[in-house]
Amino acid sequence: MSEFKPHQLAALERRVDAAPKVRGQVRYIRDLKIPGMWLGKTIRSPYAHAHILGIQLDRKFDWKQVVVVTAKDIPVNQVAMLENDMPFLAEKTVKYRGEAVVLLAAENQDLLNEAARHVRIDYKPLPAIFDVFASQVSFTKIFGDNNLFKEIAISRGNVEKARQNSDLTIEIETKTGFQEHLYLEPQGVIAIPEGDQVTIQGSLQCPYYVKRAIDNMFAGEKRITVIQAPTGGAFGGKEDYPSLLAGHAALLAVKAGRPLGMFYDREEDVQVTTKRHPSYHQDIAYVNKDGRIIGVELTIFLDGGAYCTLSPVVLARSALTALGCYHVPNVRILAKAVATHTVPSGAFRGFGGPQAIFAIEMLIEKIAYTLNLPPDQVRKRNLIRKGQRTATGQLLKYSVSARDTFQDVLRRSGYKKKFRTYQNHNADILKYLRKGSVSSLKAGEKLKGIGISVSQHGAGFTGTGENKINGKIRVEILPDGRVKIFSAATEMGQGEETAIRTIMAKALGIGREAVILSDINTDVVPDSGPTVASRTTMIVGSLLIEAAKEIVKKVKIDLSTKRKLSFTYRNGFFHNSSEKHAFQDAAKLSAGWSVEKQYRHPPIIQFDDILWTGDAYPVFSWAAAVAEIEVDPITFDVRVSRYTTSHDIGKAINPDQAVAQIQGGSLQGIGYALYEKIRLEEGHFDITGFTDYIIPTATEMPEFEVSLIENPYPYGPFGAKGLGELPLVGAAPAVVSALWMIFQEEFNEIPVLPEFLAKIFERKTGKNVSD
Amino acid sequence: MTDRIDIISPVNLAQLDHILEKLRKPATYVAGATDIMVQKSRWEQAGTLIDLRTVQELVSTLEIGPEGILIGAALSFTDIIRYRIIQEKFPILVESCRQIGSVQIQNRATLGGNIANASPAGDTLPVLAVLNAELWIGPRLKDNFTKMSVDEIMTGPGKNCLQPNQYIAYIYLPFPEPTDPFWYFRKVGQRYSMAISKLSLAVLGWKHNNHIREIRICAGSVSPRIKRAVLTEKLLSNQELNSKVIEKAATQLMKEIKPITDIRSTHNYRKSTAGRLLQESLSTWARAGK
Repeated sequence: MSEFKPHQLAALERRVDAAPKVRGQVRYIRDLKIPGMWLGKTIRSPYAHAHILGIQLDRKFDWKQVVVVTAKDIPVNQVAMLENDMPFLAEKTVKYRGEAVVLLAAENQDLLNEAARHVRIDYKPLPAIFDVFASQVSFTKIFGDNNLFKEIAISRGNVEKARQNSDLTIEIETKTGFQEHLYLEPQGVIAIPEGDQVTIQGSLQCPYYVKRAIDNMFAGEKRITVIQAPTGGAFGGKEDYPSLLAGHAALLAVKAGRPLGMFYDREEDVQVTTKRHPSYHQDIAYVNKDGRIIGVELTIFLDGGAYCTLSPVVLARSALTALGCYHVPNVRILAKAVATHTVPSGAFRGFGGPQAIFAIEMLIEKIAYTLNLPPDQVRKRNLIRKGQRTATGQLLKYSVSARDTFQDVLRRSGYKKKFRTYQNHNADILKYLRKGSVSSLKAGEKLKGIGISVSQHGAGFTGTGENKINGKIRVEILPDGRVKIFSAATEMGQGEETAIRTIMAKALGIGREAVILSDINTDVVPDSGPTVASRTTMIVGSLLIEAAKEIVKKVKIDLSTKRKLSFTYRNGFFHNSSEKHAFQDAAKLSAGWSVEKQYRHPPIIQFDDILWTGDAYPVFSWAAAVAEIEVDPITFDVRVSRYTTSHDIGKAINPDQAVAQIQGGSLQGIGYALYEKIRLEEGHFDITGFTDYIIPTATEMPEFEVSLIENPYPYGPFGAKGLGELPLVGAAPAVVSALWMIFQEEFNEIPVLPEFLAKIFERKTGKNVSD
Repeated sequence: MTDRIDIISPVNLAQLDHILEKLRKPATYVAGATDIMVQKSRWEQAGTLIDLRTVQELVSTLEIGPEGILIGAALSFTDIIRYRIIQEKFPILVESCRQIGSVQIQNRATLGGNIANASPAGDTLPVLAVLNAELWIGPRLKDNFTKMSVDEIMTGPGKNCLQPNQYIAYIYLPFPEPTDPFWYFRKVGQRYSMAISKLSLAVLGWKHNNHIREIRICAGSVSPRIKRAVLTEKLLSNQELNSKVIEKAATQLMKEIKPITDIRSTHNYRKSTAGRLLQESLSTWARAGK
């Protein structure tokens, strides 16, 4: 820990990247004007599963002005990720609708479009599988010999005994849908070839992922540099996909011998890039009449799509989050990531967590309504506390706030009282609706609901991930005494630059303006690990604290040597009884010196990723939320009117930004619950962009009551834990809990649309309105 | 996206008519362009755009006559919302304009564009239908505009009956009878702003001695063309509003409309919700009379 106390962190600091973004001065990848640059285009499979019989280029077309790339042109045709199953271009078989088969490059878009009309690809369509259950028993193999990307079994205690000793068995099946990131800036990459060098610039989260993928593609025969361009949103959608897109751009660029831009428009982006994994859960709880859960059996299926991408680690997080915030002594968790002929699923804020928390929270709702107990009481009875163990046997030793966040939202929202008040308020409205006599309703009257959820998110990589990555940073003292951070952590709108500079500045006790950041260029910055998994503030931040200590030590030595005096360092000054030197003045003596730091988990953190036991995460961040909703009894529109949430994130490096993250993430989770629907029609997503993929806007923003709880993580910078993903995780179950409360019905699937709610009463009134 | 699009910007009606007479290639009219701007496929086809927002008469006309007003087809929704005469005489139109898209869309989009675009989900169309709006179609023939109603101009989703050289110049709105009109407009979208409607309902009516003397009802997004629910109107005329009549009218409306299932909603939801909207409107009216 630093010698500077957490309270020295400013309560409100402006984001360092705000002004140029607000003023429109930032040049995104599409804004770059690169002389001689051509554009690339992708020709995609119209089938979800087919053999490619042949690719014909029309001889009548003048191909001299166009560059064509097929699978045959690719030195190593596999995108290096967890498994190398995904090709850059399909060669013999296509496995999802929209899979890339041919790439074209030309000087302008008109010529590209014309050329595309002269490419003929012959296919032999094959039966396709879109269902995770059908996939597991199908003769058609998409991946391996059982269509499973990964299977995880976690076991603790004795579930059979728990069943025998319990009063009751309660079961629920839940289901969550696709979710699209809808970052404001669609995917885009430019590749520039110069001799054996290929420079990639793009809108991306993880420059070293892209570098490794392109290195591998060229079999090490090219020198690859990856530069992150300003990135207009990502949410995980620019974690894995840019490796594929950058490969396409690099292939065309090298063959054309000129700079090449691949820019997706919105429709192409939503049709072919990764989505959140749809999930199916079959959950069983063995409970006592008082609501105590003695044992659970939880089964999770994630739809991974046609290729593996990151599915095994998404599945791991789902499995390791499956118990939510509860302490259950007897647990069996079985989780499978299944292959289907669908666009590969990928990383999305929460990374398997939102699905798992939705399922366990709906199981809790079902327990409450089955036992006729208040939903908050069932949660309270089972919440985990410090000193207890998780499903993997991880002993929670520090920074455990499941109860604190829960109590805090109950109190601040007035949950218990509103629960009763709203139930009384709804009674008459529900009666009229059941009778179908809408005309008895008072004008403008709404059904009112209140729901609650508790959630957690393991901060940093799952299991031993951080020790495999070994993230590095370097900090250098500049000639003017400022310090420069070299890290591969990327800004994508989440406030990384502000957080990193703030941590360094506060650790050194100097102003933020005296800390600068290197451009994100793989030739210059070390591999700090990807900017994912809510890890940057916590992991990279902790390295900065270590680096800061050594910087102070180094400058103190150089200053003492020069002045032949000893100094102590406090609040930005080296001083003794006779002299006082500001950091930046003193640091000039050490100009050019730099320090590198590499991350390892504290040795007390141990995980066995074969038996799935031990410390799944170094620490968890905790949250609870109460959603108040209004349902219009005429249209069944659902509006979240008020959202009260408490987040324990260890320490808010920038409280203002932390609150903004929580509001934005919660709203994205509300979208997941109520608006964001994608239907799959023969492997084809039925959305084209902002007009038909409905996300909440400012109009749907509830009144937010956010509070931060700071229960420090001993190994984080100033005690900070991860934040980025957590706010999304608990939002959908809180909203749907409010629907259970209003309708006294089982809700087990998101999104919940008005069309579904209206049907409840069509059923009840026995009125069939269809022809 | 194609590299080249020609934009013709006539400054007045005379110039517009002159250009249309000479134009030999297909052209697309725009009056705010809020729809075409987000439709890539239509951009690719559109070689030539004729911008009606530059035609002085169409963007600035608001003439108040003894029995109605004449509105330039290229007035923005923001303009329409701000005119006091429209606020006073046509609050139902103001309400529907306010629910369109967002303020930014309202600043650009126009009444004429909403009509010509001929979407069954066009937000102002059911309102214009119940207001008995009269569309004045240019170019003038012997100094006269061709007149037609909203029901007539629309032939199907995205289709209107205008010839390539025809455009909507003005919208004439007769003043509704001033004695105690009842009006109701509600749009049901997938969210509260920036949403294409799944359903909308406009009702305009008058009572006499507690009985409905006249009622005009039009639902949006429930059929390929915008048309009034004449059978429901007929069922309600001369009736006294009570829960039985209201329920019967809702059932009739649900029979009369032919909604489809699409990406935004379902047949069932549209049908049952249209019934509930009508019940809501009529019961509000019934209570208001008491």
